[in-house]
Amino acid sequence: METDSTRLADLMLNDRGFVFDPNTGESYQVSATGLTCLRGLQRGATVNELVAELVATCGVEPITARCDTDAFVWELNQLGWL
Amino acid sequence: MHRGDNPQPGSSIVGALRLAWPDAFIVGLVYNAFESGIYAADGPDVCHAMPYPTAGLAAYLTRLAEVKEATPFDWFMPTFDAEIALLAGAVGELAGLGIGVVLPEPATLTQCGKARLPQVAAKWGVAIPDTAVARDLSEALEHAALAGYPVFIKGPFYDATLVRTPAALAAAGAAILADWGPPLIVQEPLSGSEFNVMGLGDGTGGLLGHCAVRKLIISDKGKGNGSVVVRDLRLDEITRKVIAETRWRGPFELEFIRDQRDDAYRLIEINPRFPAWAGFPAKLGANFPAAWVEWMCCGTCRPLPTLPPGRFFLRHQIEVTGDMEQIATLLEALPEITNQKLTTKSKAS
Repeated sequence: METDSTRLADLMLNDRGFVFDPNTGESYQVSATGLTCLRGLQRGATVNELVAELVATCGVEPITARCDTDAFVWELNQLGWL
Repeated sequence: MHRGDNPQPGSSIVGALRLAWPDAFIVGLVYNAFESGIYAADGPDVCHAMPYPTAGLAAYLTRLAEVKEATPFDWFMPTFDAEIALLAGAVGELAGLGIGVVLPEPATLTQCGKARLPQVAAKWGVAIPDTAVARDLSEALEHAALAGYPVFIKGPFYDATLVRTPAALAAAGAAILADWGPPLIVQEPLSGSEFNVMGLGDGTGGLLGHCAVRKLIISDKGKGNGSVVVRDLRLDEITRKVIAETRWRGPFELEFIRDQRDDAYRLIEINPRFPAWAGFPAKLGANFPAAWVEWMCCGTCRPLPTLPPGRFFLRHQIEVTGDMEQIATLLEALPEITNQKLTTKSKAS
């Protein structure tokens, strides 16, 4: 999945997982894993690449990483970020 | 000039002007000796009590002339909707008194008032909440019965009350009629985040600058006690459309709700003045009141930077101090007006 969403690109993130959406003025707190995914998506990573990164950095099974990433991406879609 | 639980724009504007010109001579016009901004450290150099605009144009201009004679000033920036409605058609009379003012055209004000907004917004292609305009309580009750409760009942300038029953509507509507007169506006309540856009129109359809915020903290009076700068091209586009269509001249505030049902912005109202948060962008380098003074004086103004999203303000109440002698001075100037208002609620400036 390729993403080039302006909304996603505009998100303001800090290293502690605080996310500010300048479009809506809403703010969020994401986990370290969520932050990895968001930054990956901002760089243009695919879901497969995110899963591979989580498997490599978090030591989780590929199936678990895939499920969690899919759920996270679904939530981002609900927010209109993708 | 009040900055309490229902803050008004005047004090914020004075503070912004002080940022640009610390030594400017600023005259504050007030309706109530207990307006807290009178006593603020960065407040006006002098304050005078004014009659409410409901006293009529002649009384208002007579008092302005007295104020100008006592404490000469060159430019006047009304910050109260009812003042602006009264004075928009009296620019010539004000010039005759040596008072410079730049205001929207009277026709523009009428067009953008709450009563006409449903018609003009449809023409502009700008979404608004379902709204009906009533000449009296009876019509308002009919509109509400058709729309279904709850509804907002609003006056032509101020006051908006959410009512859930005909009895509540009648009570709120009667209070609005007593304070402001007709019409009454019956409007559907919307769920969603509230956004405001403040800016300056150049009178030819262009924008000198604007700043969009989302309310973070909303008081029980519906006031934004905290807001954050946002950037949404849709909001910018609607703002540009409204200002272009109206050829708006001067300060404005557009109030929106981002409707949860379809994520669309719906325009709630157009305020023909700076909002109470006008001092916030000024502190970050976008001084709209100073730019407007420059525009009035010179026909041009300093560039207004676009503020970055994420900057926010929180309203912070402090105690200001005064002496009863100051109250007495204000009362003596206009006893027939200010004495009675000392014990009533403040609505203005």
